[in-house]
Amino acid sequence: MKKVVRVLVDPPLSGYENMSRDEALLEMGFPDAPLTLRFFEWEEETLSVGRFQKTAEMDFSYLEAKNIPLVRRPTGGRAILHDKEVTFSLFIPTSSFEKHTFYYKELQKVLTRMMEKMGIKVDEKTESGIYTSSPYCFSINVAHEITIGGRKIIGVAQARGERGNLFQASFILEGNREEVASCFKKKEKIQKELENSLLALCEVLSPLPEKRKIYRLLLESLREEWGVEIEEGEWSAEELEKAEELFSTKYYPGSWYHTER
Amino acid sequence: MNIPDNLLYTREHFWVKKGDLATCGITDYAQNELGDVIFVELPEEGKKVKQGDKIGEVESIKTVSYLYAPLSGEVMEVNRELDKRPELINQSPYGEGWICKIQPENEEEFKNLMNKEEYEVFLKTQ
Repeated sequence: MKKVVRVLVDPPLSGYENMSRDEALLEMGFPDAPLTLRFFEWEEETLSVGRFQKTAEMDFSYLEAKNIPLVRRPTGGRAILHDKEVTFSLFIPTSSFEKHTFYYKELQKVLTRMMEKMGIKVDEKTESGIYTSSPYCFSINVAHEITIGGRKIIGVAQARGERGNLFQASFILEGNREEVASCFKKKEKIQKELENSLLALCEVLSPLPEKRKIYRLLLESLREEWGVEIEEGEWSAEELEKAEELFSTKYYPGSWYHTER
Repeated sequence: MNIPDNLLYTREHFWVKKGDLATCGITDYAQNELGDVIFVELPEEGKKVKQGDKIGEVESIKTVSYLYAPLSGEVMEVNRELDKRPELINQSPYGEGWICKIQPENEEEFKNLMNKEEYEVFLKTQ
């Protein structure tokens, strides 16, 4: 029997709710939940930081002035300003301990195929780019991320739990480098880096496809590349209960968790 | 791959060295699968843990992985050097990269751990 991918399409939510839901997928997954692809949106522009990222480099006065919330992700990596993008998470139930690049490679195949369906050829990327200490996700690229001419267009990060692996991905549709850089104390340096390291879809494809079309292309690519069946699904009551618990104990607005480092 | 024969192993790829306190860390197999470790969140000293509890996290390249207690007991000591040099987990998983020392509360739990040969067989299923 073919593996089934449960697809969840959430309405726009706060960053706090979005991260609570993603962590609930990671905590509740195996063996009760199937492989799950979740599309989600942000009800307001939000800065997310990696699980262990230090927030000392953020410009909190700018974030406050612009009412940009800061939320900590359950996955690793560096900060992302979520605005005009397609965001999705993928939970893969597994009890095996694969090499950290194993699913990155598998996801790279899917995302490469999705880009091809839009008529865009991406780099065949197997090595990491030049390392910098920049706090922004799109300032650097690592092996198996999606880049075009060395510039990153989709950022992916991972968390491994007892029940499976959670991936979070951000596909930039339109990117305002100046605004992104303004979220950090070293604004000029980051803005300069982003000129050469970040690419938005609108810079290689016009007009921009509707988000729903991108969702459909990603699902088609997943089905073709992994040989899975796609089924629109729903959250279970247990998963939503877990998400609410995580929200009230860890991800609520103003929580110590977001700025603890 | 290095699997010392004087240690015991968990299914979550922790090694345990028996003694007055049980010293533990991540196996050579696990550090290789994780890739370059850039951050370790260590267990709290004095914390009482149960076998299989989540006791910490490590971040390698854009990947966060949980650490699970190999035994029940009290965490008596943690390797603070890993705060400054998390790469020790990759460089010396059975030596300088040890993670914590636990005062075991139930000797019976050692029976749940694998010896070298059993761990080798287990790895073939991974």
